[in-house]
Order: sequence, then C-alpha cells, then structure tokens
Amino acid sequence: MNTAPSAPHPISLSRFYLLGVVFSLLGVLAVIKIIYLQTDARAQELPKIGEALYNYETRTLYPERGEIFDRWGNLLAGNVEVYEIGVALDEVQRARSAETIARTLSEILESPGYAEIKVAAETPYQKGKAEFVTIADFVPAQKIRALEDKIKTARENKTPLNLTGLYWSAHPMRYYPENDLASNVLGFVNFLKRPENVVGCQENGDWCGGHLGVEEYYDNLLAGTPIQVRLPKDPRKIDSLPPIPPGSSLILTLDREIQAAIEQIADQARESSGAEAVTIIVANPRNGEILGMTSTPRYNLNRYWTYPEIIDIPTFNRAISQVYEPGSVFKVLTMAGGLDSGVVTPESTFLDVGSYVVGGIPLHNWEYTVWGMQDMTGCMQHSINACLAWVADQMGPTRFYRYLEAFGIGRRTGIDLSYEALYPLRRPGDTDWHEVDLGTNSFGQGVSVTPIQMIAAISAVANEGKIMAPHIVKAYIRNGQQIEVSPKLMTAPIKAETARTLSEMLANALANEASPALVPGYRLAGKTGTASIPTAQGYTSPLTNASFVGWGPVDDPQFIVYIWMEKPVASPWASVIAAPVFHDVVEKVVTILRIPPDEVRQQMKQP
Amino acid sequence: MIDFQTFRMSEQKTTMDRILSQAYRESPWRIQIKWIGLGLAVFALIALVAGIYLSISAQATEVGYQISYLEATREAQTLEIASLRSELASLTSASVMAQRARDLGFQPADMSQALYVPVAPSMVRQEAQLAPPPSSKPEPLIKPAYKQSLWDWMLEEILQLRVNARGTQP
Repeated sequence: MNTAPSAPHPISLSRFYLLGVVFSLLGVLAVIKIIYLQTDARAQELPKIGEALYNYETRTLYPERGEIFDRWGNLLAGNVEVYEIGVALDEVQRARSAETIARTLSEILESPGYAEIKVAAETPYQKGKAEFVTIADFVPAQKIRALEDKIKTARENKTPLNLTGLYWSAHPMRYYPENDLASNVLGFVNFLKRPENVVGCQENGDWCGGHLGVEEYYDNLLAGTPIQVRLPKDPRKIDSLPPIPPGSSLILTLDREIQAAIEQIADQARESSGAEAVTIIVANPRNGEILGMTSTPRYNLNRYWTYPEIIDIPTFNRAISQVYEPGSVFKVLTMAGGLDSGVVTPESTFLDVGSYVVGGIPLHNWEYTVWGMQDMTGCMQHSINACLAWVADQMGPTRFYRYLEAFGIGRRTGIDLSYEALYPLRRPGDTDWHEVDLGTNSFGQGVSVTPIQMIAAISAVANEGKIMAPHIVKAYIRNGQQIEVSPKLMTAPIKAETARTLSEMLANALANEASPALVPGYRLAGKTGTASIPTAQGYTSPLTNASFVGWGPVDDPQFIVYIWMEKPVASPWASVIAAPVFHDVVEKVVTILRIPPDEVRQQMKQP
Repeated sequence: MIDFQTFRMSEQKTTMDRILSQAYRESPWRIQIKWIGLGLAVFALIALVAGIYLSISAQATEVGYQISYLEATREAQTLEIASLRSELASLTSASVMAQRARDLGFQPADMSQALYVPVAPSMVRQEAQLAPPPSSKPEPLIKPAYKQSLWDWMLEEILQLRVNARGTQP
C-alpha cells in the first residue's frame, strides 16, 4: 500500500535570520580585530619580531687581524686557516651516523679519540639546549683536506661513508711563523678564545685578544673594527656584504737577521755565564728605531698556553718591564752632566784615594782599589766610584738631578710596547732622599732603571746630545696605504759638543783598556757596569748585574747596544762577562747592516 | 475608435523599433567572441605580468645565491691567501733558512772575509714597502658602470662602439 508523500517541511525563516546574525557578528568581530591589529602598539611590534626571527639574521663580522712584519717585510705574525668540527645531533641520531663519524674522525685527528667522539656524537638531542656539539677546534687545514679525500675516495669506491650531521667550518687563527723569534717583543694573541665565542671578555677581567708586547699595545689597530650586518634570509633580497676593512698591519723597526743573531748570542751568553737572564737591545741612536730586542727566556708563541709563567709580566720582556740598579753604566750620564755643565773637562784631574765622602758617608771604589791621580777619561776607564761621586758633588744635587730628569730617568720612555715599567727617581726634597744618594746615584746605585731607559738616555751621547723616542713600529698599513711613523725627538739633555767629547773619552777608555768589547777595524765607545744587587740587609749578595753599553762607529754612530746579564755565575765582572757579548753583537750587527770597517769607510768617502 | 487607432499605431511603432533594433544589433556569437577575447587579453596580461615577476624574482634569487656563494668564496680565499702567506713565511723563517744554508755548505759571513764594494743606491736593499703611501690616488673599488645612470652608461657604450668601429691604432 503506497502512502502519499509527506508535504515538504515549511522552511523556518527564523533560523536563517539567526544564521545571518551569527555571520554578521563574526564579520563585525573580524573587522574589530583588523582595526585592533592595525592600531595596537603591541600588535605593531609583531611584524618586526617576525621579520627579525624569520626574515633576517644579524651577524657580527670580524675583520682579518692585521699582520706584523719586520723592517724588510718578513712576516713575524700572520693568520692561518683552521677548522672547527662538530655534529648536528638531530641529524646524527636520525641517520645513526655516530659510529662512522667517530671511526672516521679518530683516524684523522690526533685528539679526541674514538670513544670521546662517539660519546659526543651520541649526546641526546634537546631542542634549544643540545643541538650542536663541537668535537674539535683549531684543526689544521691539512687534516680537513685528508677528511675530504677520504670521503671522495669512499664515494668513488661506491662505499660512501655515512657522515650525516658532521660539519666543519673554517676560521682564522693567529700564527707566528718564526715561533719564538722576537717573542718578547711581539707578545701573542689569546687565539684559543675566539672573539665570536667570548662575550664581554675584557669586561669580565679576563684577557682576550692581544696580550703583551706589540700584540697588546696595538690590539685595537691590529684587530680592526667588527661590524654587525643584517642578512636577509630571502635570497631575492641578498645584497653584497659591506666591505670589512682588515685590521691594520704593522711593519716593525726590527731587523729579523739582527734579532736572530742577538737571540743566539743571548742564549750562548746565558749558558756560558750561568746568568739568570740575558737582555740585549740594539737600536739606531739617530732615529730611536729598535733593530733588535731580546731577553731570555723566549717563548714559542704558537704554544703560548704551555708557559704558565708567561703571565708574569716583568719576566716576559725584561728589556722594558724589569727595573734594576744599573751600576757603572750610569756613570756615562753623570759624566755627561759634569762635562755639559762645565763642572769638569776631559782634562780635569781627580786624586783618587779609594773613597769620597758625601753626606758624611765615605763611598768606596770597587774592591777598595786606589787609582791615584786621574783625568776624567781615566775615571771612566777605571770606573772610579769616588771620582764620579766627586763630579756629582761638584755639580750639586739640583744640577745633577736636573740632568738625570733631562736624560729621562724616573720617566717612561713611552716605547710602543705594553707594560713598560718605571721606578721613580728620588730627588732632593723627597722624604726618602738622603744626601749620600747624590754620591751613590752618580755611579748607578740607589737608582733603578729599565734597560730601555738606559739605552734611550745614553743614546744622547751617541746622537749629538739628542734622545730620539725609542719605538718599535716603523710603519702601519691601513686602508691599503702604508703610513710611515716619523721619528720623534724626546729631549736634548746635553750639547752636541759634550756628546762628541764624551764619545771620544769613552772610545779612548775602551782602547786604553784593550777591552774585550773592541772589534778590530771599528772605533767603538762604551762603558761597563757591574752592580751589586741590593738585598734587605744591604749590598750583601755576591751576585751582580753585569751591563755594557756601547755604540759605533764613533765618528758616525749607526748602532747602540745595551747588554744586561742578570746574576752571572762564571764571573761577577761586566768587563769579563758582558764586554765579550757586546763584541759578538757588534760583529754581527756591522755585517748585517753592511757597515764597512772605519778604514774602508774613510776610503769610500773620498772622491 | 480613436483610441483603437492610436493603439494600433503604437504597436506598429514598437514592432518597427524591435525590427530595427534586431537589424543593427551585433550578433550574440560576436559578443561572446569579444568577451572571450577580452578575457583572454586580460589573462594574457596577467600571465605576462606574472611571468615577468617570476622571471625577475628567479633572476634576483639566482643573483642572491651567487652573491652569497661569491662572498663565501671570497672569505675562504682571503683566509687561504693569509694561510699560504704564513706557510711561505714559515718555510723561509730565519731558522729554516739558516739550516738550509748550512745544509748547502754555506757558512755565516765572517767579518774579516767581507769585501766592501761601493754600489749604486738603487742596488741597496730596500726596506719594506708593502702598500702605496697615502699621497697616491687610491684605485676606485667600484667600477664606474655600477654608479652611472642608465643614460650615461648608454651614451658611453655608444661612444665606445664608435671608437671600436673606427678601429684602434696599432
């Protein structure tokens, strides 16, 4: 039985109205939200955050550190390519490549070993916490080439290695091709602390970048200025990076050959004399250029972290950072002052009775020797303490200390090396100055100086009375241009005539003495210095500081040499220990600087 | 009667208008073709714009990748050059050179055996001059072509073409 179809259900308009209202409300809400997004300050920030997170990345680009050359362009400090190797943990775990990575790397790297690499590669991946593990850093480029060859060979043999997740990236590392040559001058870069990994290094009191020597003094110049760039992640927006000027390169005044020679001589002298340390400086008195500077011990700068004592600043470069009582080399300054002030002339005589009283205290000669009547050349030749104390006494304290100040004693030379030391000069009026100090200071006791202060002061005698500021940087290269550093006049403590007279006196003194410092064919001027070392109980130690200062050729000085041997054991006397070292240095220096013997030089001057 | 006649006249006019209108109206298929043509033209225009946009974007992307690649290459090569320079310095270091000289049978120069000969100043060993002094004019880093306007560049190219056409003197 068929039933009649039921009548269609009447459409309820009220439901349509309801839907209409709902959709209208949704529309209104959407419009309100749009208005809110367009106007709310926080909402305005959203696109920027999104852009920063997803569209751009900010990178700090570090310029290549400037190189350091000697005066002839030999590289003393450069950069090499090394690699950081690491694993992306999620990729390694997905591809199960930890075993292959550990095996392959352990065959190429010396350290870490297989087990360590495997443990590192199997570190559980944690997003945001443990995503990437560095396995080795500062890996030489040759090792990476070996790894690449291994991968290539395996691929060619159709047995590709599963090294998924293994990454390596290059970065520069400071390198010193001469190893320990000029190490006391250069300092080093703490390259194990890479700038990109060190945040607020210096602010935290830690040391990073250049440390000691030229590397620290010129750290800002060498390091250049890092720049921050925003790099788009959208390849359509990629633009070339702004040019990053490399750090400035430095050309030093050092002569590599002279430096190598004096280092060799210093090592030999230290060994033969049993001295605690030997310091040698060779400079050009005409312009203050340091041609060579060394002090023992030296350090292989490529392995600086193996010397814990390297942090002890005074022993790193004794030529500038260690003060000592110089002894009789100081007499050159006293005599220069006496001659320049007119208190004495070379012909002035002094009757030596073995001592001279200053401030009520008798000051004796070395080993209580008595020299009788002497002229001023004789006083210098025999290094008579009593005579020099007399000269200082004749000058009076005001004049004597004014000369010392003019010679730069009690003041830093300003050499462009880090940690130049200074010992204050005690002057009349100071609470710790006594009248007897005038006498002791005249022969280098009770006054402390650095070797660089002494060579700078005495260079006035070798350079017509003028002291040129000692410096180590000859030129620097910035923005592709080489800028020469002009020599600077520091002071002119004595007259040119005085300087010439004293040079002649000291040359005669050396010649009369038949000093082992003399070099056949060359007329040299110089002075020894044997100084007792003060202890808490006074000058009771049998050990001495042996020094020698000399320059030449006397008629046209082209070099000045300062030797300091600390506590020699073989002999306490500078004339025995330091003078032969001066001789060896001069022999090398005249050869390297191509200075002919005086006779040949005079012949060559003739037309 | 009048009304009926008026009605007839009105009807005739309407019919006449329709006939006339039909006679001069464009045929429907033509209108369709016109719309289709117009649609196609708009589509072609959009396709053209999209094509150009895609082409430019693709080129920009490619150039972007090239820039990235070249930047990376430059960085790597700078590092490699520095590395090679250091390696060369290591191979010619003072100690290595001294050892090599000794191996070849040389001896350190002895002062007493030295023979001094006057030479011209030009033969004297020159100190390091690793870069030009500041007074010399620096070479521009960016080629002028990258800084010229299109018009200047075109003029220059035309001038260059004329020069090339004339040929150069041997």
